[in-house]
Parts: sequence; structure tokens; C-alpha cells
Amino acid sequence: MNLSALIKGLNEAGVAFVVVGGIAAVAQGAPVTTFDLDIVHRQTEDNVEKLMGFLKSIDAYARRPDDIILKPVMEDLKEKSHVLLSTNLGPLDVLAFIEKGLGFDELIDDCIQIEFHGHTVYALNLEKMVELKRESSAPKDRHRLEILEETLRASERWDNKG
Amino acid sequence: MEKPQQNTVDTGLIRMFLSMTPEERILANDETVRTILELRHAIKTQKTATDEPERPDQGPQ
Repeated sequence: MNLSALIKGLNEAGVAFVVVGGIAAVAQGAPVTTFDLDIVHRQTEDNVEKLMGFLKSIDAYARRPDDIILKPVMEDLKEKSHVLLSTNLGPLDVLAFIEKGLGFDELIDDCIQIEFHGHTVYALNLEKMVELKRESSAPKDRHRLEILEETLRASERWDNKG
Repeated sequence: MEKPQQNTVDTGLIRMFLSMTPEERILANDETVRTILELRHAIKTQKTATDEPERPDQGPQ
């Protein structure tokens, strides 16, 4: 499993995406461990084609509770849905939107830019993550919210120290 | 020695991560995941070995 290689591969394939979820939190200093990469992709024809090409190159197939192998198709990536995949670099969740129905175009302004393996990666900022998690009642989100809030406070103190 | 804060969140760990670059943090997550998977595999292997009945031709001599 190599989530760094997944991010690198998406960039090299020219896919427009923002990182959300655990990896976005990790990148900003939250002490959590995550086993998958969650992305929200731009749903233009051209971008979906690039993403599809990359997914083929890493043998992506739908993560399911049974052994049936279902490869994603272009239509899956164009729909307003979540495509949860296994790949040869690790689990990848391709999301059309996250909480409140926010997609790529709504999220991009709430992202930080990270220089990663020579590419600029966009990750949802901690402030937005906290805002969205505060409205969630899911136990997993409530637990993570505490960590994100503390990380946000600590990073503000850290930034003020220079 | 300074006592750890009675917080539910490990603020010392946060400070440690904040001292790293975003790239280093993502790589650290990868390393952690790899280690966790290795440990899980080791536990599974050990459990399988323990659960397997001893074959007569492989018993102690």
C-alpha cells in the first residue's frame, strides 16, 4: 500500500482533484492514521477521461463485500456518487461530493496547497473540515472532530510563533 | 518532567507533526500503515500456525 504514490500518480496523470478526509487531515498535522485516499475530482469530460486512464493503470476495481470484480466505467465518475475502489497502490475513494453536496468547484477555494513530489496538491483546509464535521452526528466524525479542532488550535499557535 | 496534559487529544503528538512538512506527514502515515499491516499479517500468520492441528509426521521427534 502506498498512498503517496497514489497522489503522485494522480498528479502525473494531470487529474484535477482535491484531497479530503484523513490524508488531508494528516497533511495538516492531525495525529491520525488513515488507510485510504479520499479525493473529490472535477467532473469535466476531459478530467474524468484522465482519471479513468489513471484508474486503469493501477488496476482499480470496486471495493465490495463479495469477490465480484467490477471495474469502474466513465459513467461512474460522471455521476453524483461515491466510487470506492481497491487499487494496486491502496484503497482510493473517488467522491463526486462530500458533506452538504460540496463538489470540486465549491471546495477548491477552501484548500491549502501542498508541494508534494514536485507537484502542487490541493487539500481541504482544517477550518472547512472542522466546519463540516461539526454538523455531523456520526460517532466517527465526532471523535475526529476533537482531534481536528485541537490540531487547528495548535497550528494557529504554531503559525503565530513563526 | 512536565506532565502530559489531561486532554483527550495528544497535543504533544500534534506538536511533533506540526514540526514536519505536509509531505513528511503523508509519508509518515504511509510508513505507519505499512507497519500496522505487517503487524496484522504477523498476528494472522501466528494465529493460523497456532490453529493448525499438528500433523503426526511433523510432531516432536
